[in-house]
Parts: sequence; structure tokens; C-alpha cells
Amino acid sequence: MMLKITLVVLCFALTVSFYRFLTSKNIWDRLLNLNLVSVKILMIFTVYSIYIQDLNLLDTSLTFVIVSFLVVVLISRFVISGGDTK
Amino acid sequence: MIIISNIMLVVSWIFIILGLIGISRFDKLYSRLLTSSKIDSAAISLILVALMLREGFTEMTSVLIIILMFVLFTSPITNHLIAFSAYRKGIAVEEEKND
Repeated sequence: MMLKITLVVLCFALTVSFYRFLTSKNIWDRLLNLNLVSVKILMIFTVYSIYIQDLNLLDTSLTFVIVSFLVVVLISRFVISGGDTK
Repeated sequence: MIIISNIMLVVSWIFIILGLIGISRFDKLYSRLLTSSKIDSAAISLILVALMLREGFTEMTSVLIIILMFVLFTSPITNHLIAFSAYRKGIAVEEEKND
């Protein structure tokens, strides 16, 4: 029951964060909201994999957190080294 | 154990809602970076520890510990890199005014 309510709260937070990601002004605001969205998706993965008792989905979430970390770090390095900031 | 896990899940809902309010209310980029990094690290640590307490000693707990260590190591690095690139490429930090 508590896990279900946690999933509902996380889906609401994910919707608000994704709306702010779509309507943000500059690239750094967009990166911040992208980081928030990826962390919320990670929480949903983890809570749902405990809810259905699946170990493979938990391994998938471990892969997802590595890929989301790499996305934010590589786009930030690209912006620092003189990339396009639109 | 289930009761402690439930209490931690309720505290994590409060942290998530407070994070949404804080992101919406601040208007400068650096204030929003501070709020998002603090609140999200607290919420994800609470949720992962609550799930560990709920599971007990199984093989799922080891994967949860690995995810918790990875998030606690990499969340400051991403927020530092976003703030560093914003500082390098022209968003100024507001100077403090002495009246």
C-alpha cells in the first residue's frame, strides 16, 4: 500500500519536472531539470522493482543511473569546451 | 522494520513535495541548483534505505546498496559540473549588497 502511494507521488513529481524541462529558458536550466527527471525515473524503477519482486528490473535501474550520469556530464563538458548554448 | 520503513517513505514524500515547491519558488539558477541537489539526495537516500529495511538480507539488498553508493558519489559531481559550466559561460553570481 505504501509503495503504491510512493509510486503515485513519484509520477506526479515526474510530470511536473518534465513540464519544467520542456518549458525552461536556457541550457543550464534544461540540464538541471533533466537531472531531476532522470533521478525521479530511477526512483520509480527501484520502487516498482521491489513492488513486483523482480531482480532483473533492479539491474536495469543500475544501468539507467550510469547512463543518466554520463548524459549530464558529457553535455556539461561539451558546453564548457565551447559548444552551442542554445 | 516495516513500521520504520513506512515512516521513512512518508518523510521521503514530504522531501519530494518540498523539492518541487523550492524549484518553483526560487528564480536564480544557483539557488535552484542548491535546492535540487540537497532535496533529491535526501529523498533518494531515504527511499533506498526504506526499501532495504523492507527487503531484509536478500540479493536485492546488495544491488540497492550499490545503487545508493553510486548515487551518493555522482550526484554532487553532476551538480558541480552544471554550476561550473554556467559560471564559465556567462551567468553571473549576484553580488551581495551591503546597506
